[in-house]
Amino acid sequence: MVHSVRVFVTLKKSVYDPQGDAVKAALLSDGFEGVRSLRIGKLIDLEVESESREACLAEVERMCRRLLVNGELETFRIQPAEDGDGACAGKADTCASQPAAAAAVEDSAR
Amino acid sequence: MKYGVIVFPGGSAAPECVAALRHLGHDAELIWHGNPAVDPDAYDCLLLPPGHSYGDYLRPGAIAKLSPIMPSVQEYAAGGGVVVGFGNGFQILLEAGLLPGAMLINRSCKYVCRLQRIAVESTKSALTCGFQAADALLLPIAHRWGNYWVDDGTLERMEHNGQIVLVYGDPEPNGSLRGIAGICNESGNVVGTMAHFHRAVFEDLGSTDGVGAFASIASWVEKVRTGRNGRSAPSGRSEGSGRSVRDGHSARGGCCSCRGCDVAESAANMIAATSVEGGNARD
Repeated sequence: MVHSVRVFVTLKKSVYDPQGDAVKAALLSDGFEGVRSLRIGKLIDLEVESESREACLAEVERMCRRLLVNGELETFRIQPAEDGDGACAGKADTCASQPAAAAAVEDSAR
Repeated sequence: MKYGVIVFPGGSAAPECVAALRHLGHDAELIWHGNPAVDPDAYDCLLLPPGHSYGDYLRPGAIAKLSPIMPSVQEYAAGGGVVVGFGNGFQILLEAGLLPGAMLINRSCKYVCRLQRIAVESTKSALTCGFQAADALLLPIAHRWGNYWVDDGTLERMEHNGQIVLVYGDPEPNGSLRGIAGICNESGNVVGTMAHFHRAVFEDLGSTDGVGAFASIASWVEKVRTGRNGRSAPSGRSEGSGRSVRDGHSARGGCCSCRGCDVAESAANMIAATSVEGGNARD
């Protein structure tokens, strides 16, 4: 069975994010005065053939530690998704209509 | 002295590394990254060149660390072989865990390309053993991901062990922790730096301060060699003479028979063409 998984990669809190700071400065100068912090990470959508969701998640965690994430600088969160929600690798049109925030909220409620 | 210069997909500077090494009278050949086995006796030094392998996708050096050749690079280093990375080569060594720490995007978020003042801080490494501590070098840098970072505990150990080998002078280019421009492993045989030493061996390019680094490597290799068993050159290899520059096909010898060799071979031919022209122009 193919499982959809979304991986969020973020810089550790102790690591300075020059990109995030530059974008924050741009927003502030554009009049968004309330911005206090902005940090940029990565979002990786995968579809993985696996026997079970548990096996899939374990496999994705291995992928994170092996390649997707640099443990020196970054941390990650793996979010499994049911069909049709959350992760949508290879389905850009579906992606566009699904704000990541909604999926993340749903995941944390799960 | 014989160098193996590893060619990673999308990397750009392997040919110029070979050209520089041959200009200095060393033997050098390209090794395709798909080659799973490097004969440790065939090379005195493995050089991981600069140049955005895999388009710097994911993180610079991240994908290259999974190249088939990397386990044998690890073995080569573990056996005391000299492994040097410039620019992206340094990033690959970090990602592969051969050196501690990691690279962030430059603090300015800008691509920085210029001649940079860099000071030698430790002469413990194969790349710096021929310099004096505090020697100030003028070296080309060209990168967007050169903002070195490492955790406090590791930094302390590195300082204690003399593993911080090069530091930036003013103006500091990228926000690196403690101005770190180059580091080595504990035993000094694996060295990485964002400085492009190979571009500082031709007077026409503004600096020849890189020459000393290759002399350092040669003396390190010689020291290890005599210390070990008094053997002279690696088996069947003669000292480089520049002959191979004009030969034009000798770089082929270092490649495996995989399809990547076409890339390596065409790069080798390119070097042969440019080197000969360069030679004429210089003298």
